[in-house]
Amino acid sequence: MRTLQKILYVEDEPDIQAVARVALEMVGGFTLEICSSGQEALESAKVFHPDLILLDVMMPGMDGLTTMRKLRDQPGMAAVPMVFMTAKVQPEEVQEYLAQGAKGVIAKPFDPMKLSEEVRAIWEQDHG
Amino acid sequence: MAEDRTAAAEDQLRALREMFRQRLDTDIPELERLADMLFGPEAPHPPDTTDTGDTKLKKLNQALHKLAGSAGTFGCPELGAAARDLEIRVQRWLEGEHPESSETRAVHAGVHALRGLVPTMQTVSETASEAAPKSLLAKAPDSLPANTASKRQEEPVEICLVEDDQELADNLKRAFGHFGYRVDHYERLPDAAEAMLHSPPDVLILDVTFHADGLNTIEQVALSPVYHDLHCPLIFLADQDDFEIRVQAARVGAEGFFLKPLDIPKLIDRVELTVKHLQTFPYRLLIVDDDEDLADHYALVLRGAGMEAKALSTPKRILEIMEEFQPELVLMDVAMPGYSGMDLARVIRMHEQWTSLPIVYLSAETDRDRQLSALSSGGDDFLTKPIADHHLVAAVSVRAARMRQLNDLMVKDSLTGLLKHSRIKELIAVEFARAKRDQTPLCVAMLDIDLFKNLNDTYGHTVGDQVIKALAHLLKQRLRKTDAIGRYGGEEFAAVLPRCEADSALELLNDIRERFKDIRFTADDQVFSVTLSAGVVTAARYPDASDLLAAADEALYEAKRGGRDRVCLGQLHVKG
Repeated sequence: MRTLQKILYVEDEPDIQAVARVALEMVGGFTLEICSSGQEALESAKVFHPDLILLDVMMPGMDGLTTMRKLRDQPGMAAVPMVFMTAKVQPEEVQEYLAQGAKGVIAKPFDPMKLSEEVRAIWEQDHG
Repeated sequence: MAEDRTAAAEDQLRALREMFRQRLDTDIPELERLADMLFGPEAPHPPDTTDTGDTKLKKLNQALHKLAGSAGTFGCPELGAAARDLEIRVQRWLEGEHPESSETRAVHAGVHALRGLVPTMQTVSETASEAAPKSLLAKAPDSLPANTASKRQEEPVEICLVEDDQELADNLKRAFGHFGYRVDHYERLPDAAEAMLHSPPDVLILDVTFHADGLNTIEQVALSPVYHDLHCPLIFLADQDDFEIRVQAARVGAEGFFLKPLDIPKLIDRVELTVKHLQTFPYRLLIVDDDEDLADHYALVLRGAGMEAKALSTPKRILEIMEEFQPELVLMDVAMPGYSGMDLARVIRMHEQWTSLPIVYLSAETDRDRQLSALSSGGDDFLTKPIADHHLVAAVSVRAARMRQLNDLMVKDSLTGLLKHSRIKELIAVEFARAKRDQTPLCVAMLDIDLFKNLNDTYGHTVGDQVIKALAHLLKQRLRKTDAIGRYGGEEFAAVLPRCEADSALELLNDIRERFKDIRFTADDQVFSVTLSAGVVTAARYPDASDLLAAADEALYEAKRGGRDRVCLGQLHVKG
């Protein structure tokens, strides 16, 4: 099984970015690239070649779902698992994201000490 | 090992939580002010719930959303839940539901109840702040140097533009957009002032022609407390030159005064200079102390001040770690079991690379003669333990700042701030070796401004320099942090793109080419644009770094021969 190394995280909130950096880089040991908008993520994904993408659902400008669709259209990105992060974890909302092709949904606020495990679990489920 | 990592992460999270709580001291009163304006006794009922433009209600909703998202993560779950609840209610009004006055009162009260949900502050312990530290350093200033509040490179710089000429505003928005800035445009000064209360910009650009109550823009700015509290750089735009107005602008501390028709690249250049200090990378410091707790404490204090600090309690791997971490200053304990700080300083100094690195000793030693003798063996300064946190931060950042200035002078081109020829060549060699070793893709690009000589001949060297600077800014903005950019020759630039495949590099360079072409320069009342050509090569196909460079040059030449304003990918010429 391929190991998960490079994660692209799309989140507009600088506070959450800082926590995620600690959670994924220091605790998880992943290589992390953070983008502040969907537009930026489209650019970044081309050069960073992430193994997995974490997307905030609610962002100003391009939202999480649109970003996912556009990322999918880029060459080489169709197989990269995408995971949503959202504060409103209603079951129907989760179902909708999964139906759209997301590999998982992580609830916000997340526990910084456990986020890496959650991400890794989704990765293993996808690759197991 | 994993435990170390967890402990370090927890420290970092604690520091982040502390910062978040400190910020609540200003964020929550702002939310309250916004709620007062919307739902207070003087506010109209029902509040304006149209979901268009930047209404106050929308701002309140955004601020609540932000708080709801972050509070939970930063260990304030009640606060987060309360903010979420309020956000959902306000959201419904934005979606068209008509609010009852009892509901707006409830939300108003709810916002004011938020401050009661902030957990009580835990102040970071100040180690022996009462013991006055003795130092050979010149007395550090009370206010810390710029780096303490360094803005992370990833965040876009926000410009607040107040301009009633829509066409000019659009042009500025587009031009600044190319350089990665975010521009919030307002047509009226009061609108901007109100927006700034909520989210302060990094730079404020104002047209001086707004009049209210017989006051011009500058007088309004001078009299309003909103702008004082912002501490953000001010730039004024004016239709005509007027000495009185220039003096007024200088008095309110303006950083720039630009006449219309605007020379946009010059304006961008000024903004770049102004915000440069906001965007510096954090200083990198290595702390060597056998007392692990103390080393971690220092590291935490320095990180809290925006620096990147690494603590080392066993010095055996110090050279290896320095090579990897590239510190800009070493803070060294004097008395350690096995090796003294002086021994380690000598070991470090034996490496040519580290001859100018500042090494500052930290010790309980108060005898001046012995301090001085320690300095003769490779150290630069002496700080006496115990040292108060704020003193440590001041002493270290002053030193690191000076080191960085010197280093910049040594390796950077003065016009563009990019790396000098010799340094970029070195870096190409280093990255080439790394790419071969790690088997990762690497691209190198050469860029050249088209027909630059004509430009210089027509408009003069000052204009030529302006064009070079504009391209330099654009490159800095479009490339990643891990990419290196150098000014290779007069109007020639080299870029090193590690972990980058050829197609991505081509796409990136074509994007830069398009954006550069779109910049409008002004000289002698003429508006013109300039194009560039570029050649790209991928490292994998070449046996050594100099072949790679030659091939990039060849590809650039190919682009020029092909008619300029294009990017060519280098082909390997197989002999025979």
